[in-house]
Amino acid sequence: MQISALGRYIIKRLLLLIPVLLGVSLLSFSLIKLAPGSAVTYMLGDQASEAMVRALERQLNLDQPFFTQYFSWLANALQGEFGMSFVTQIPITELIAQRLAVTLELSVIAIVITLLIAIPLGVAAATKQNRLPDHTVRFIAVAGVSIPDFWSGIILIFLLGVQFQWVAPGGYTPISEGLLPHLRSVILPACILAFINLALITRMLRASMLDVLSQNFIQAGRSFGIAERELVWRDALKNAFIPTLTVIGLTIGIMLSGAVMLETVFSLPGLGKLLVDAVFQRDIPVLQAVLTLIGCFYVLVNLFIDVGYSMLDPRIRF
Amino acid sequence: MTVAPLTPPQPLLEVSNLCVDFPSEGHTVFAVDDVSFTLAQGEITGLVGESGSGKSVTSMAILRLIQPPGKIRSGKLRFEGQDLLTLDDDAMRRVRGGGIAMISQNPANSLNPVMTVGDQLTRVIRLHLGLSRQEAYEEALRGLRQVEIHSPERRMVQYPHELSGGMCQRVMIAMAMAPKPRLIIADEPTTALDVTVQKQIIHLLDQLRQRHGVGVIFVSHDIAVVSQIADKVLVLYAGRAMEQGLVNQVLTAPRHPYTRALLASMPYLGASKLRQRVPVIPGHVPNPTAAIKGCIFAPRCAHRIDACTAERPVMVPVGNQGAVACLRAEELAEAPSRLTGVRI
Ligand SMILES: Nc1ncnc2c1ncn2[C@@H]1O[C@H](COP(=O)(O)OP(=O)(O)O)[C@@H](O)[C@H]1O
Ligand code: SF4
Ligand SMILES: [Mg+2]
Repeated sequence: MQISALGRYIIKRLLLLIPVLLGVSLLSFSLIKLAPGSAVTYMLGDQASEAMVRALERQLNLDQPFFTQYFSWLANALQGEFGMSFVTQIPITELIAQRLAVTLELSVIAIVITLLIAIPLGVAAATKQNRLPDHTVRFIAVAGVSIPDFWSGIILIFLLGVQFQWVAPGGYTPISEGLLPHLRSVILPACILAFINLALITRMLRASMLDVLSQNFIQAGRSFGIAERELVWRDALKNAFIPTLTVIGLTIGIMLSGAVMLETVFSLPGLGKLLVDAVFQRDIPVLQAVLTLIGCFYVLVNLFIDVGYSMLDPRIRF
Repeated sequence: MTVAPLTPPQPLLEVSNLCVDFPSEGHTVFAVDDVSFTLAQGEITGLVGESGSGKSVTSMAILRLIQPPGKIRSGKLRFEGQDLLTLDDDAMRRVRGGGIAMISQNPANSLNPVMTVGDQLTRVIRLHLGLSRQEAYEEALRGLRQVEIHSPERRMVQYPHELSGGMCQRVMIAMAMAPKPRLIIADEPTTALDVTVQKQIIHLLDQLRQRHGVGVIFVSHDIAVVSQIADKVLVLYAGRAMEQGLVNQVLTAPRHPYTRALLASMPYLGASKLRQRVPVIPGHVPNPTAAIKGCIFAPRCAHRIDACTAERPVMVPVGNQGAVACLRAEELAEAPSRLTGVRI
C-alpha cells in the first residue's frame, strides 16, 4: 500500500502521542490524589462514621492500590466511560458532551475573530511602519498585557450588555432558541477571548512580515514587475504565516484557560464552568475527566498545527 | 530623390548624471554621484568596483527600485528613448521584468521559498506576455530548456530549496529572459557560485546576447570576470565614475590610478582562477558624503597632489570611446611602468 510522506509523518506523530497522552492522563488522575482531604470525607461530611467512609471507599474502588485504581479508570476512560459525578450522579460522559460544544464554539469563534483582525492589522503594521496601524498594534499589545481579562470582561458586560444592551450580559441561549439570540450570548466572551491572544499573534505576524519583506526575493519580485499588493499579500504573507502558526499553537493553552475564566464570568455552560464547579464541589471524577480531556485537546491541537506547518512550508521534510 | 536621414542608432539605455542619495541622521550618503553611461543593443557593459562602490544602487536606480528614504536626486534615465523617471507607476512596473530584467547576486534567495519554480516562472510570463496558463507553462518549459536545465518538467514542480545554487541562477535567467526583455541587469550573477558554474553562467549570458540581441549590464567587483564577457567597462569608486572605455583598452592601458590598482591586485588575470588573488587595495571605500571635496580616491591614491583634494576631477574623453576622471591622467600616462604602486 502506498502512503504519502505526509501520511507517514502523521502516523508517526500519532504513535509518539501515545506516551504523551498516557502521561497527561496519569498526571490528571494523580494530581487530584495529592490534594488535601479525602473526597469521601467531603461527600459524607464531617460527621460520617468510619464504617460509612470505608463502605463508600470500597464502592468507589478507593481502597485499591493507586495503580490498580489508575488502570481500571484508564481502561474505562478509553471506552469513553468516566463514571458518575459524585455530586450530581449524572454520567460524566454526558456532562462533558453537553459542555464541550459550548467551549469549542467559543474557542473557534475566538480564533476566527483573532485571525480576522490579526492578519490585516499585522500586515498593515509591517507595511506602514510607525503609522496608524503600527501604533494601533502597539496600543493593543500594551492594553492586552496590562488589562486583566476578567476586568475587561466585566467592563464590557456593563457597557455592551447592560448599558447599550447590544449583547446578552451573561447567561447562555442555546442555538435551538434562534441563531441570533444564541450568537448574542456568546459573541462578547468570544471577543474577549480573541483579545487575549490578539496582541501576541499580531505582533508575531508583524515581526515576521517585516523579516520576510526585507528578504531578497521580495525585491527580486519587484524587479520582475510583480505588484506590491501581490508581493505583500501572497508572497510575504504565506512565508510570514508559517512562524506565526507556531505561536497560534502555543496560545491554545492560554485560550483554554481564558475560556475557563470567561465561562465563569459569563455563566456559560462550557467545560470551563464544569471544571470550576467541580473544583469547588470536590467532584473528583469530573475533575479527572475534564483535566484529561483538556490535556489531550491541547496535545492534539498542537499536532494539527505541526501538520499544517509542514504542509505550508515545503522546506520541512518528514 | 530623397536621402534617408542619417540618425545614429538610438542607444538602448542612456544614464545621464545619475545621483542617488541615502539620507541618514546628520549626513547624506551620495551612493551614486553623477554617473553617466550608454548601452547599445546587444552590448555588454561591465560595472566594476570594490564592494560599496555603488554598483547595486546604480542597478536598482535604473529600475527605479531605490527604497525610501533613499532617492534618485537627479539625472536622466532613458530606456529605448523613453524617460523612465517620468513614467507612471503602472508603466514602470511593465518595464520591470518586461523591458528590463534583473538577475541578482544570490540566486537561492531570489526565489520565493514557498512557491514552486513553475508557479513563479509562469506568473512572470503571464504578467508580461498575457498568455493563458497552458501557454505560459509551455513558454516556461521552453525557457528552462534554453538555459540548459535538464528534465524541466520535473523542475517546474520543485521548490527552490530542492535546486542547487547554479540551477537557481539558471531559473532566474530563464525568468528574466522569458518575457523577452531588451536589457538584462546582472548584479554579481556569479559571485555566489563556484568557478565551473560561474563559467557556464557567463557563457549562457553571452549566448543569449548573441541570439536575442539583448543588452547586458554585467555588475561585478571582479574585473577579471568582467573581462571575460564585457565589451565596455565602467569603473566605479565610492559612487563616482573613475574610468570607462572598451574592455581591451581599459585592461591593457588603464588610465586611472584606481583602475591600475584594481588590476594590480589581480595579478593572475586570465590565469588559473584557483590561485588566490592578492588582497585588494589597502584602505577602504569611504562613505561618500558632502564633506568629501576633490577626488574621492585621493586618500588611497599613490599619485595624489595638493590639487587633487581641491578640485573634483571630471570625466575627460581619452582614446576611442574612453573617458577618465583623474587630474593627472595625461601626465601619468607618459610613464606607465611606475604607476601600479599604491600608497599603503
Ligand atoms: N539602503 C541603503 N541605505 C543607506 N545607504 C545605502 C543603502 N544601500 C546602499 N547604500 C550606500 O550605497 C553604497 C553603495 O552600495 P552598493 O551599491 O550596494 O555597493 P556595491 O553594489 O557596489 O557593492 C554603500 O556603501 C552604502 O553606503
Ligand atoms: S585625481 Fe589625484 S588623487 Fe585622484 S586619482 Fe588622479 S592622481 Fe589620484
Ligand atoms: Mg552589490
